[in-house]
Amino acid sequence: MTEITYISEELVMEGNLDSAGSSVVVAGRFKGELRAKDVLLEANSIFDGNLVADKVTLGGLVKGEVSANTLNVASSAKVEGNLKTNALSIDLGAEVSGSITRISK
Amino acid sequence: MANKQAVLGSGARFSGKISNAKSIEINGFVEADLVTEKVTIGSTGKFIGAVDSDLVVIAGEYEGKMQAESVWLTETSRISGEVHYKSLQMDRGAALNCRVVHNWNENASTKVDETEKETSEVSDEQKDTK
Repeated sequence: MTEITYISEELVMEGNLDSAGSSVVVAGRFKGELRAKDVLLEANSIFDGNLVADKVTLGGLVKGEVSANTLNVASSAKVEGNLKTNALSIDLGAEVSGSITRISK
Repeated sequence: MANKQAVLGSGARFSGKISNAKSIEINGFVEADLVTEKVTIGSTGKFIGAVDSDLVVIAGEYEGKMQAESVWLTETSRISGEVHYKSLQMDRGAALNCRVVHNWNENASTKVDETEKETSEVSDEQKDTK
């Protein structure tokens, strides 16, 4: 049985997705609240909203708030918003604007 | 994966809007209204909401009003609400607590002969059993 949640290109999802125990991959568009264990926003994805996960890779257009224990911003990413993380890496070429803070323990 | 598809994992819960979709597979819980070409609700899946689709395959739970060309309800499916269909297959064990309507709506006549063939086959079978 598939554990992973996948939103492919051009598909639009708006709302609340809670996938606490498993992974979410977004190649299309997502707007709203997203909660998961691992999240991958692929290169052409568009995300607008609130993202909470343990491990996140941002590769597309991201607007809003991202909270992740481990966060990677890939070179294809354009991020506008607040990043909260304890372990951050930003690849060369990524466009990031906004604030970066640690998750308070 | 091809474009305009979505797969929801068995642990996932989604409520909201899904648009521009061609094919959706649900193994978790989804509350939404769907217009698409193919919907699959896996045995661990539950869907609440309206569906308008060419093909619907259900092995899990469905609640709502469904409008579909072809519907396949497998032995583990549980359905409540309303099912409007042109061609229906139901496996032994499928649990239906719903209104089932075979719709001959105005679109039917303009659509390809395929559906006509299928429905005529169904009526032949019905004659045989009588």
